Amino acid sequence: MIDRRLVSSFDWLLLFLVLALGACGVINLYSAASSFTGAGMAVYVKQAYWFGLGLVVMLAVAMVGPQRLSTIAYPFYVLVVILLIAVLFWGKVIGGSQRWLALGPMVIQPSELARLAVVLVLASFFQRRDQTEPYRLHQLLLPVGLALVPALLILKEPDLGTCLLVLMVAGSVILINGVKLRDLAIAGGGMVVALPLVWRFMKDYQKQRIFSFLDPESDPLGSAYHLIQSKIAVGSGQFMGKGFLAGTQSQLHFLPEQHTDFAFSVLAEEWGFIGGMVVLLLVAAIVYRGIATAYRTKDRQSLLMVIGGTAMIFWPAVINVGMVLGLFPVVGIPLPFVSYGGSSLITTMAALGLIQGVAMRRFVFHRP
Amino acid sequence: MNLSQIPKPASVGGRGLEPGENPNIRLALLTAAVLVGLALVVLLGRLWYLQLLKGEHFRLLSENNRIRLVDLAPSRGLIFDAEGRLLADNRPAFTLAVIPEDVGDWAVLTRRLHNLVGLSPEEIAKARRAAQGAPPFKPVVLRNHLDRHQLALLETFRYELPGVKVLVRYQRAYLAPRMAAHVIGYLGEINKQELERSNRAVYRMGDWVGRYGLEKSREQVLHGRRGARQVEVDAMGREIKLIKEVPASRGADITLSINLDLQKAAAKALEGRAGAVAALDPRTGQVLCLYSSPTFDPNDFITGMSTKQWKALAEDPKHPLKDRSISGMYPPGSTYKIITAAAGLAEKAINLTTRFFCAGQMPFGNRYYRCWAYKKGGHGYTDIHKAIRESCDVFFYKTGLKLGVDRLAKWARAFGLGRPTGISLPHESPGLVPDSQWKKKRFKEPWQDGETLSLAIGQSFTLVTPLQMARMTAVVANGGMLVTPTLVKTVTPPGGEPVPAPEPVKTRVPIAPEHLDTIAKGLAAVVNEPHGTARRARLPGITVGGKTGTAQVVGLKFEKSFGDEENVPWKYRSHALFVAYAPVESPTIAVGVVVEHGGHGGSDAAPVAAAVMRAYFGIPEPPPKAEPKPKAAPPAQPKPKKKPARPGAGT
Repeated sequence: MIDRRLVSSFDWLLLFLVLALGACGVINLYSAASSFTGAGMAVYVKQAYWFGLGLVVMLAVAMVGPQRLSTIAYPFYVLVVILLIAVLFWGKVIGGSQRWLALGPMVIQPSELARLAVVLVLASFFQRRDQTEPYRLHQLLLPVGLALVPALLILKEPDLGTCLLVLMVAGSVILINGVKLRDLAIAGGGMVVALPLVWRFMKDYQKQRIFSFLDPESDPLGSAYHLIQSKIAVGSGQFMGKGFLAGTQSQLHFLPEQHTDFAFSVLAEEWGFIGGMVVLLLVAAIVYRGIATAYRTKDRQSLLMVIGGTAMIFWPAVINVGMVLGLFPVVGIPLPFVSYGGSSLITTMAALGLIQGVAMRRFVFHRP
Repeated sequence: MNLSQIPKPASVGGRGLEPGENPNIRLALLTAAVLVGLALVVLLGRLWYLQLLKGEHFRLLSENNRIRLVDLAPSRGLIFDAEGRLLADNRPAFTLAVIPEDVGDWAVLTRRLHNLVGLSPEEIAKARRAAQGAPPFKPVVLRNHLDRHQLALLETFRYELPGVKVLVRYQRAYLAPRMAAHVIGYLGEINKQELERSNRAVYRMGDWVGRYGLEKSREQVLHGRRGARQVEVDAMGREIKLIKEVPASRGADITLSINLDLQKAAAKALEGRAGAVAALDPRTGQVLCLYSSPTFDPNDFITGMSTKQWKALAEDPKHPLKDRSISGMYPPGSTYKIITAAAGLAEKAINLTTRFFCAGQMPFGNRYYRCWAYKKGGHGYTDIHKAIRESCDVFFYKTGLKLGVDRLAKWARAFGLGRPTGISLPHESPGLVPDSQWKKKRFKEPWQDGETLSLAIGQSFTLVTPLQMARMTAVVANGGMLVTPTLVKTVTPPGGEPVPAPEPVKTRVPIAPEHLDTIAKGLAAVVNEPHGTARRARLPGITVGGKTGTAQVVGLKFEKSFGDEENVPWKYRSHALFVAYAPVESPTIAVGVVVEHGGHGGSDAAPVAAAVMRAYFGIPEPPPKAEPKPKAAPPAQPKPKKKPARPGAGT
């Protein structure tokens, strides 16, 4: 059943990189959440379980492979859109936004599935069109629409961070697939022109949200304060770090959300520049494995799936680390493998499964 | 099946390249690789900058981390009555708290606090245990409600009390506590579920949120927006430098259409009895009075109640916490004849000249349905005007029979019964309008014509709230408009001008003006003509129109089994109802009154409505001696013992 070439072509280096990064994440969570008291499993143990489950998901997605995945792309996309609509009506409200949907005993976050669905549906779409020339703007209306539908539904929850991720991942796939340079310039210019127009039609409270997103200092909740504390944590780590479990910023709870969005601050405080660099290099290596796999891929659909999967790891990593280091405004996006969170981890592993699935089939594409 | 699995001929359309070999895609991938590298360099560079170039600086900051974020709670919007009298205010309350990290020597502090404010060592230990696992530098509350003396002592010795803080918190105070408790409602401390569901920018642990009444339904307007300040503190935990402050913005003030004078009049008239009054301006739907008796003191919810106090309140058989004016459901009794009359005229079951003969009873099926005037021999020939004035049951039996249950239900709904009025208060009851379908669903039985007879005089399954009664009366008063009751007249944002509340929705009830006019004349006759059933509701100088109702709680036979009326236990006595409006020439107030187990509409509910209308028109109360004693019923008042109406006809 299983072609031996599938096993021999499996990207073992990629798997090793993922295992190494996952291990860093679990160890860091042991420290970041060590001062949490409360019943139930420790956070780092839960993360380890999620990681294990994630590996299974990765293998499953890889075994199914790009061709069969494309046959379920559209039904899967429709299902996710339905779930996203359902979550607006029946979702659980936590922290002022409605993101979680209870299906029997399971609680899922449909917005996490959205990125995957958009990647699959776009790859499938461009495969069917199979056009070698760069795309013109009018030809892109449909794929952009396919990305906008779930993105806007997620924005409504509201979950600005995940909405941006969906758009960035979709944008990566569309750009790699090819857009005529002139049209790209027109689209960019058009967006700049349209912005004030959109602004005029926005409600006051929506504008307020944008303001506090662009300027955290205006947020009385003090995301500016959180940013200062995060920078103090990272900076005080210096070259060698304060040592495992010895980060004062994190152990004394100066950091907000220190096991999720700000997990990297804890790591940088305790492991210093060395630790931060290792994690960044591991993420970069994973991203480069993805790009390299895409480069060797001859089939457009597989190539775009690989690019989508890679973008699903690259963008949240850049945005999260950029935020923690004070380069971007505070937006709640977890760092893949390092931040605690089951659904985010599973989605990331599914993205890796897309890459592995194509890598495994390098030599078995056009079966007679 | 899958086209992509079939290799495409290389030469089609002159495209000779596999997608992966497409130079455009290859170029895009190489660009992506470069951009990823660039991102890596930027992030590593930033890491280098923070950790190596600025590392010493941040290390120092982390060792002396004394930057704290202090929360600034907004002050809640005030509530005024229609005349601008303050009903809900915020008053300062002082809390003794301690920041554990700043204390140093607990033994010394415990001794000092014991001497100064009488805190026992056990209390302090208990508070410390409870605060374990809380974020650092969070004040732990040791005692609430400090008095002035304790406050002065703490201030005097504050340099010997490291870590101790006196927190000032504004606490809600209700200034007319027993006059509008149900309408204004009260606050409660936010609980965990509410906190999880709410926006983190708005609510924090320890916040107070509306739990009842307008405090709940207008929570968003009243609450305000919180602020925060970043401060640097010294080793004692005292603020030494303000780094940045975003001030809190207070909630908006609300001016109600409710008038405190009317509330007081209602409270006095209902004192010692269970019941409710709803009064509104029929022209706009603005609620002038909404009072439910018995009531409670909302301040008890703010300062805290003992378990015993709470139990007494919650388990009181008269349910003081229930707002009877919007959630009490009562059979409408004869006040429902307004609906039957309107439906009969509009559906042409009767007309202005229709006369039915009332012999004091009417045979139907295998029994007699009695009119309340049975003992007097009935009303004789009766037209619509006389039927309303004297509340003739037989006339309305016959009208109801011609209409049938479903057409009656249609008109009851047109007058706003059977659904919430839409007033912005929590816990409003819809009431009930039965029809044949409802009966089938509820009892799996078809509707019986005999039940239509009871329905036509308001004694069947129909249930209404006092507010619905007032609104129904307003339709007659304002010439056919069904108004939406509103409580808020203006909302004043902090530092801004008062903003009038949006115009409430009105819908036209499809009934001819001459038909409404006939009903209106009948209602005026009820109060003002001889033989009218509510002559007690007359006011000097103002013409009032109204309709009485008596709604039986138990079957007549059961009620009779106690013999004399005084012997009937309270809970089995009939409800007294009354609806009214005034002045009939151009009405400005419509009232609905229910006195639970109060006896009779004319004698027990009408004076309550009269008292509220007196307050509204500024008519001084009559001298106490002139007030007729309940025993000395006026001639128009039927002797209750002589009321053998079969399904419980009311007057």
